[in-house]
Amino acid sequence: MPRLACLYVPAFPLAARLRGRPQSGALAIVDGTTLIAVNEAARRLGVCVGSTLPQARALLPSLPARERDLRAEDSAAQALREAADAFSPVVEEGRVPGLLYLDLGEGGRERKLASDLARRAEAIGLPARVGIAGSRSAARLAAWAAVGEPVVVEKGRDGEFLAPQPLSRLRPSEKTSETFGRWGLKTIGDLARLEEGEVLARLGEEGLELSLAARGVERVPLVASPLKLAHCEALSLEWGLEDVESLLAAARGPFERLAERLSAMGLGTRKLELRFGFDPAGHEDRVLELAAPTRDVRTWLGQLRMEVLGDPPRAPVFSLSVTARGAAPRAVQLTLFGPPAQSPDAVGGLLARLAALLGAGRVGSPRSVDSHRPERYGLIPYAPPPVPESRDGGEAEVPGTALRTLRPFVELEVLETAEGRPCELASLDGGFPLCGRVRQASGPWRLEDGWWTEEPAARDYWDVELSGGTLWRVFKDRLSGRWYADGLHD
Amino acid sequence: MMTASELARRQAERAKRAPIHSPLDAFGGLQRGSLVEVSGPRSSGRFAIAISALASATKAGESAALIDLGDHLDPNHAQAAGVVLERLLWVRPEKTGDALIAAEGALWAGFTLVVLDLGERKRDKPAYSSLLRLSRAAEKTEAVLLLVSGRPLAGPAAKTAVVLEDVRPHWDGLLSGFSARMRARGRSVPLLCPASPASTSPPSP
Repeated sequence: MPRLACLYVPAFPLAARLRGRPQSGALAIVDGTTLIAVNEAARRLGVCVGSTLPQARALLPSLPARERDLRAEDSAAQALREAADAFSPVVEEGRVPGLLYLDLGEGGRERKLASDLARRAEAIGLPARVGIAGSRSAARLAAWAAVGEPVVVEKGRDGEFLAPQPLSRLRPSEKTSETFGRWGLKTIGDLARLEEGEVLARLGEEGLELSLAARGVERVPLVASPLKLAHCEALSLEWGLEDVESLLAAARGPFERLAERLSAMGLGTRKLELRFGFDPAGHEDRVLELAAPTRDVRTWLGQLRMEVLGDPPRAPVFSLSVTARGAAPRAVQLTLFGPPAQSPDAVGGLLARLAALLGAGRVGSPRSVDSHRPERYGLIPYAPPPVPESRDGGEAEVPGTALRTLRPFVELEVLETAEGRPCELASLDGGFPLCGRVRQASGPWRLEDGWWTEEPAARDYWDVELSGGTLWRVFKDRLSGRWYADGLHD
Repeated sequence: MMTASELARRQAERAKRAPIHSPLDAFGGLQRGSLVEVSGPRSSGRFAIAISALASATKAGESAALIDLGDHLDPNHAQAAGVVLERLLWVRPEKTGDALIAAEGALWAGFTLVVLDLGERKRDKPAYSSLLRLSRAAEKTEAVLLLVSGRPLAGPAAKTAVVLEDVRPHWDGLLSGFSARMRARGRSVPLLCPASPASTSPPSP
């Protein structure tokens, strides 16, 4: 007989809104003017679900009420679903948000599983109750009763568990409920004692379903609900945020929850899609592109900081949602007995952080370019080849001179001889001290390139030694007549 | 079939890491888990030592990072000098603070050799406390941090501090290289850098 777990989040619209943030006083969530969820503090003061806000405020004038946040509920429902997926391959969404059924197969260590499941839901900011039984109805009612501790109904005893409970807990329709009332049925056990055929004949399909549920009989196995590919977290605020630091502080919560969810699936993301909501209406969408799949919150916040500093939202932000599509971090085949290698996840996180810190185009793997112009180079995303089986750098080699390229070129003021040979030079760039008499020089080496383009180059290069002993590569641009230093031999 | 001890011996052989060679081998070389500083005036061979270390590390299959505060790397020259560009991460910060953050990040991300070159432009010099922090990161991650600067900065934070001095360019009609002396630990060792074709002025097409 299959076993089912029911994961139930009480007052789901409220739980989705708070996501684990403590709320000391009474609080209600309204949809229009009707209360759809209240917390324990409000319930103790007599406020109940289904009443209108004026009715509730007649009891409690200072009752805070928040509008229902469908985006927050959507992201919370998805987070709950992802948490449940870690415990069962078949997870079915219930008729209301915050209610999930998990197929546990033949069961085993059910109490521990139920506790772990409840703890997992708590960890994502959704306090939940867990019930385990053989049928949906019994599991749901077990979860409803699981205040403080999970409730596990023993195998084959669903009917016994359900019998004393009020019939209304099976949620019959109003018409069927009236019929039950006329028949004098009060408990689930009363319905279970009626013959199935008689109930079907008098109440139709609904009656049959209720009769089976009353006896803990499950006709239809669980059907896994499809899982969304995008992961979303949302946040609604009581007042609008205008400055960057407040926005970053508010974004940290959704970012951390999203990172936690991606981490549970072993995924990162290359792109974050943000939506800033304004009051009373309007929104702004932004996209943060990351250099490599990562779930590092610091990197995400760094990217967001750069984004909003460069282009602040046009109005105070009252809500924020962030969506990410999971992407597997770069996979590298390591060897079991080989030398240690870098963690792809660590490198991916570093690349994303550096790109966020320094900007695009400042981090990567260099490449040489086949060009006459010595300043040309290539830069591609860093993705090193696999580590070789054996590492041997060979013998130590005598280093040749190296050239420090100067980017951009440093413009010079040069005293030339009649033959065009430099004899004294000084930098026109205050941030780059360079001046002196030329002690030795060799050249010129003539370079011509791209005469057919809009940016031709016609240069005479020289290697020069200045009076201080420094060695430079300089050139005269024959088109403009200006001199530049483009390299320092070091 | 082989014995367990033979398997363990082969495993240890494979796991051994190749040394990173450079002209600093005369002073104990680039030892893992340490900060090594090379300082000296312009055209004294600092950058040549850095490129040589990057070439040795990348040829041995290790990953290396160059934190290039002055944006001085010439990939064409580096490749000609033996650097395996696919294994080199090139980071080009514009501020000293960003360079220090990048260097620390590269150490913790598992790069075997991190070269922090402070460049030639006037910039804020890194605080001693930052260099000490980098030194500790190199020690914990068993990486080599090679700090290249115009003057000594690291003090006791550096396991080895090499100063380049007495620089003499050599000419035979063309620039044929330069020589200098490397001084560290009370010893002075000559450094000879012949001109490499990729670094001298380009020949006419």
